[in-house]
Amino acid sequence: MAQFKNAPRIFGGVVLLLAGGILAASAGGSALAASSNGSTTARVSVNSTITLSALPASFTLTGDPGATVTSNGAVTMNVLTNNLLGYTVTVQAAAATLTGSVGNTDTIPIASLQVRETGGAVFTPVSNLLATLVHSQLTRSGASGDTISNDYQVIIPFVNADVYTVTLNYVASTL
Amino acid sequence: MASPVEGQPQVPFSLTISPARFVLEAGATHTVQDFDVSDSGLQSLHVNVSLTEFSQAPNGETTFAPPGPLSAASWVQVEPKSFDLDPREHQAVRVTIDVPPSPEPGERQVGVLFSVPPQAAGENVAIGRAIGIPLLIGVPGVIIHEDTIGPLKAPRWSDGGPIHLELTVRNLGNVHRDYILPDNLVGVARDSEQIAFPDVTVLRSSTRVIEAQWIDPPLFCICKIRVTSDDGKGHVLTAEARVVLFPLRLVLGIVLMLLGLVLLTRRWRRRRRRREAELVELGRREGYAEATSQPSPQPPALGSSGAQLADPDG
Repeated sequence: MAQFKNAPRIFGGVVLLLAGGILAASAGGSALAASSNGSTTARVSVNSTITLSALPASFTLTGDPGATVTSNGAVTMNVLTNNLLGYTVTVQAAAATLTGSVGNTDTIPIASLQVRETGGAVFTPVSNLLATLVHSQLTRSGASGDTISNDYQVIIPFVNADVYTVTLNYVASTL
Repeated sequence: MASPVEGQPQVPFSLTISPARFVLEAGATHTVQDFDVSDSGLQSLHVNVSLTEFSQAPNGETTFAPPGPLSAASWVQVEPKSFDLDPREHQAVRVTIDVPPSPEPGERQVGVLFSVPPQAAGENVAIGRAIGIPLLIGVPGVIIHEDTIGPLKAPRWSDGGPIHLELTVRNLGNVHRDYILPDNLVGVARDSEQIAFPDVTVLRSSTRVIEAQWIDPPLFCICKIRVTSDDGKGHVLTAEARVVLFPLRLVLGIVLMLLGLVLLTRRWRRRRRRREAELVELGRREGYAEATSQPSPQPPALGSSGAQLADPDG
């Protein structure tokens, strides 16, 4: 009975002993750390990035009515990304036609303008409704980026002599 | 806030965005993510930020399109929507995602387009330049994982490597699935050789066709190539292809070489025989000539044994 009566005191004593031990160990630990050659883990967090560069602001194709004019490497760019899933580059026209200067009602259909990735066999008509894929890869780029080159070709219809313009939107994207 | 960009190529136009993609796990209702936009070139840039929807084609092509009325783009706000950057400057663009209280479960795909409008340069084709960043927004609720693989396409016959493989991967669920190292898809040929497919993300309700090369197959083999994965619910999926490897060109080349060798040997033997015959004939002729040009020997004296040797035919 005497033992059971003392149980709460014994329990309390054990708790205090453990608490004191933990406190002492933690205090001792910090003291040891202060005086020993401790190690530090360096963590470097690297962001995923994508850079589109060296893409020209414009280019020109010149020719006679009825001619098919080709410009190899008319557009070149550099894409740099460390995204492991790679990236794609597409091009889409902002309008359905190439239009001339004010007063000229002649137009050139956008499908007359065709594109291919340099080295490819076939030209694909540019569209204002669908993006045309001009480069795709499932791996990250090289350390200094990937140079991507596009060839352009235009089949010039019988239209007034003029400068016909259109905007092409290039989009580089990751996934 | 503008701050200098370090270590970038010195070209007139260069636009950098970080991070290159953002995935919001299901459960968050209000999330803020900053994107760092920097002018890493030599020209000043005007940048417009817009929200789009995007879809994925089997070849990985990402198409950005204006958002529809029910698009999750309405959950996303960007600030600022337009700004100027001088060379070596940064701008933080804050993207705030507010998931509505009870949306339809599944993942949403929203694109953030950072575009530099075309400049009038006096040429006839102007170029607009943009970087698209995908946002994959998880939504609380029932998540459905359901994936299939196959068919695995390979040539039925090949006379050498590398062998081109095409694998179709379908995601029928309502969230994207990453097949990223170490969980990327791997083909196993001859039960031991591994052919790694590239890392790939397949968006919800999308199909991808991914390609790999078996670089160094054996010369002769009826090989089975197998890709194993799971359907997202714990069931094992397998796609197989069989390739017959026979080095036809090599074998034809060796046969032609052997044929040539046999023909050359036969010709050489014939020439050798002919030459030997010619030599024999020449020898005969020379012997005959010598025999006819020399004066006829005196008949030997009777009783001499040499007479028998000189004229054995007698």
